[in-house]
Amino acid sequence: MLTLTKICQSYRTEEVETRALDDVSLEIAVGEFVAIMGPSGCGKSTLLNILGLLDSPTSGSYLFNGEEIARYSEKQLTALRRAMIGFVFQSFNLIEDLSVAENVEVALIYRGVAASERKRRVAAALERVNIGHRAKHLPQQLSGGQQQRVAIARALVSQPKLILADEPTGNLDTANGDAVMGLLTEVADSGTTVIMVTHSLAHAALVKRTVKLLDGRVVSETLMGI
Amino acid sequence: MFRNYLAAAFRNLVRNRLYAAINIIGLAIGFAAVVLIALFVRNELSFERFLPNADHTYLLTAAAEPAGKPRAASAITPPEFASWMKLDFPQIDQITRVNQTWLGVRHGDVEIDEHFMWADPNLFSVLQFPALYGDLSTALQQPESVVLTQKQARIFFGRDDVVGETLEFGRSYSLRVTAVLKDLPPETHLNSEIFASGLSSHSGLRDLDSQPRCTDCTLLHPGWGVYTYLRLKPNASPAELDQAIADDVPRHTNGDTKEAEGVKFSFALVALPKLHLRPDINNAMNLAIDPTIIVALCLVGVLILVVAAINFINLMTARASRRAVEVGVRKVAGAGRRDLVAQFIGESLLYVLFSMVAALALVEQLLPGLNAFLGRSIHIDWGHDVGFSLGILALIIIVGVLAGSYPALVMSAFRPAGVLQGPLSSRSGGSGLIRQALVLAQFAILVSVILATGVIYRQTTYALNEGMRLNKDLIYNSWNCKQAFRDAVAALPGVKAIACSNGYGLNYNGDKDDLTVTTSTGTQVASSMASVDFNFFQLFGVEPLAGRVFSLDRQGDKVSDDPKAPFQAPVVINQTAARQFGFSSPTEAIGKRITLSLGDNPGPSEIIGVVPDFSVDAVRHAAPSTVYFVNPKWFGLMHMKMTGHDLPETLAIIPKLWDRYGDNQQFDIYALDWFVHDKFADLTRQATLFAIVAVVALLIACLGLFGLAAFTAEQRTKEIGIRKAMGAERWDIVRLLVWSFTKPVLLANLIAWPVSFWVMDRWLRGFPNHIELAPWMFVAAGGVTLVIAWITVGGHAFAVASAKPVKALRYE
Repeated sequence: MLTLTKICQSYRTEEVETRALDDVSLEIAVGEFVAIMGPSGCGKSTLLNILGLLDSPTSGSYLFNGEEIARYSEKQLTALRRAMIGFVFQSFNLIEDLSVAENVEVALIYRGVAASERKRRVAAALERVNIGHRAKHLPQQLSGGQQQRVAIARALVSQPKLILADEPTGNLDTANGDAVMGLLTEVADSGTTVIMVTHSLAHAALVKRTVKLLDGRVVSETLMGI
Repeated sequence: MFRNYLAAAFRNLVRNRLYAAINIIGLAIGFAAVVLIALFVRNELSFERFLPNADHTYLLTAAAEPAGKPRAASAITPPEFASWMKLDFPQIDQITRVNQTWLGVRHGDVEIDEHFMWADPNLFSVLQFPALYGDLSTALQQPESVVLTQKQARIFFGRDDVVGETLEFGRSYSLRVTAVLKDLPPETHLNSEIFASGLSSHSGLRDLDSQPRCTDCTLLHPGWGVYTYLRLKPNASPAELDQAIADDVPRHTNGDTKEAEGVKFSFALVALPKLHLRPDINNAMNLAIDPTIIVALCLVGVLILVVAAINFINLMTARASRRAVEVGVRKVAGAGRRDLVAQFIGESLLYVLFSMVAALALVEQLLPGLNAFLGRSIHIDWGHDVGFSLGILALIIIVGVLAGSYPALVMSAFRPAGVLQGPLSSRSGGSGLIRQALVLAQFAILVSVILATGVIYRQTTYALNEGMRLNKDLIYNSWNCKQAFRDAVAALPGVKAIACSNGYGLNYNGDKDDLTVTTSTGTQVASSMASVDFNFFQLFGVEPLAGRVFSLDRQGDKVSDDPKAPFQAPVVINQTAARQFGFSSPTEAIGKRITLSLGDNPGPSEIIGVVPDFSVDAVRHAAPSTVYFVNPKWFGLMHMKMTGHDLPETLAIIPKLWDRYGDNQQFDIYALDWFVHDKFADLTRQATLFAIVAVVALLIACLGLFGLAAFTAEQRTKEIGIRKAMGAERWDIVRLLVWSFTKPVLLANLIAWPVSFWVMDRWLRGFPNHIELAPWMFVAAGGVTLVIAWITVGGHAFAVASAKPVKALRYE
């Protein structure tokens, strides 16, 4: 599904150039559940931003479903992201002024989905993550685990081909973290490709494949059972 | 989609109540000011619109332009013009005249001094007033008839239908009411509500028609004129008629008028709705408004809106980072920049809508006060005023879109990658430089408005006081100077001195009594004359610049009682006269002789003194060249200087003395102070309006500054905590926060001062006499603004600086 070839990403200020990614090559198949690990500052989030079409690489090739998108314009990236990708963030990033249902609905309103269809799909997504009874609550009224479940529902409601999760359990306690991992595993088992950045060895052990980064480079790949 | 946007907008507004309130209140005040200014301007432009065919009803005006002197236009024209104009110009459909007078009007116990008009019988064919009772087509055909308004009917009779009743005029004759008009609106140039038939034997019109023109009167002599109204036939050109009248006048005047050489006359038909905008036309019934005031007010309205909009933009962009997560999430979900711009402009429109609703409620509360202040009847016809409604809608859309655009562009520019990962940035949205520039622009406007207000206020007080160059304190006037009455009043302990004049000594209304002066070199100069008492100048505190003034000890200064004797009385002239008569200095004029065109036997008069130019109207009209002499036969106006002790008792006794020593004419007495304030009511009103505008602009700017200061302090909470932990004291923190807002305010003066100087200097030059722009005015305006900014920001900074450091350090 995704093929990265010699991807480099540099950030330049007036005085300093930082090479966040250095010659990263990676292939991820449809339906894979991949964990990306590494110490702070190794380029995990930068890699996730490129994979999620939130940023464009400085050099290299990125094939998304066979299309070369490394030089896509912002408009093209937005359209592709809208159609194919869902995000789950460490700090949940729910909109404080919207209720649970309205937060999930945000993922659909830019796709031209009719209001009645949006309502049906939001309800289904909330039920899938077992938070339907809190549809009218505001994010501030939920626990961390509940908020992350809402974020997952938001990522799933548009039926994306790819879900990117940036340390989805980082702000959660063990029990909630395990619950979230359970949800993500379920999503991956249903055929959606899931790429997860994590610091947790325990959670990385639950996935089929782990990619380790160090100083912007891929230093190892581990397959479960191998 | 819109429900999602609305939900986010409303809940964001409620969650950030303080900043939402600052934004909405600031915009509401700005909108209220703009709406009130718009209503006032519309009202000013609506004069005479109650008359059908107002645009095709004209007042004939005339202008005289002496060689080398400015053109002077007058609303009064010769009474004989109407008859030959109707015959000579077929394009005139109807022509009518009114002659204004002032007399006591009485019915039963109610007696009031009233302006009323003698009018040609066809008045209401030209000025088509709406009638309540009676037939206006015939109401003035009967010689001893009068028509009054509903308001006058209620004053004198206590009811509306008074056709058939009589009113007594000047305690000497009665007229019968033949019709009652609907009340005239305040928006009219007419200052009378009583119209008497010009066919009456007492009519001023009849007097003018039956007598030959006075031989000493110029063509536009103010004592020999009427107001001439006409309606033209369809397709007739007023401009062509203006020229035709000018070409025809010499044939009809035939050298009957006494003009100085080289005077050029012109005539102009002024459509009635435009009269109110022509302050250049003298002898108008009511004061007109200077159109530049309307333009200035419109400009000020726009500036107030700009100040309010700057607040809105600044606060929205400063707090943009609070919406960064939402923007990131929406972009990640597929929102394009256009979707987000539309969302935030929509929110801006929502704020603007709320503000406008609050503004309109405020306007409704303020309108009665505004109407009382202006003497108008401005109101909003909510159901039917389509123009007003469309204007409000346009304002909402324009302000909402324009003011909302920059914040929308700032907020929609957040990159998801930057805002969704890790802790929120504590930086505010948008460029801090742009925000500082907006604050700078806001305060430049504020300093300019405060400066303008200060200059207008100073010019107004100058006009009411030192600009006149005479002492008006404790002086009361009465149009009665009978000797027995005068002696009785002079004997009162509360009266310090009395002097009489013929009324032209103080140059009321720019009035002049025309005179031609021949200098010793044979040059003829158009001048004005005034007959004044021996102690006139002393009473008003006017000191001579050279020579002396008249004195009670020099009875020889008086004009001879023998009508056959040549006019050779000594004269005093003013500074302008000295210049125009060719003298290089006041001293040079002393002892020289001039000949006045008075009487059948004018002889040379010696100039005994030169006084400064002084007049009640010195600020608005340059004092005319004036020659003063003592001719008691011409006295009609009594000036009483009071001691100030027992003033109410003295004023109560004087009418009783009139009853004993006067004739049967109604008596009146008024303070010169009151007269002056009434005369300059428009200037005073302007000064008050601008002061209100300045306060409004200041309030809005301070609201915005407060909001920005609050937000900045919130942003810098961690920094403040660290500084305090490192040993900073409270005042160190206050100084730090206040200084960040002092810089733009100080810089604003650099923009405001030159702009204000240019504008106010041009405004002041429109007055013949005016104050000078002094450096202290600019420094004071800047200083006032700075102090107010410090108070606004400093209070909040003090509260923030007083908080415990640990609270700030726990912020993260």
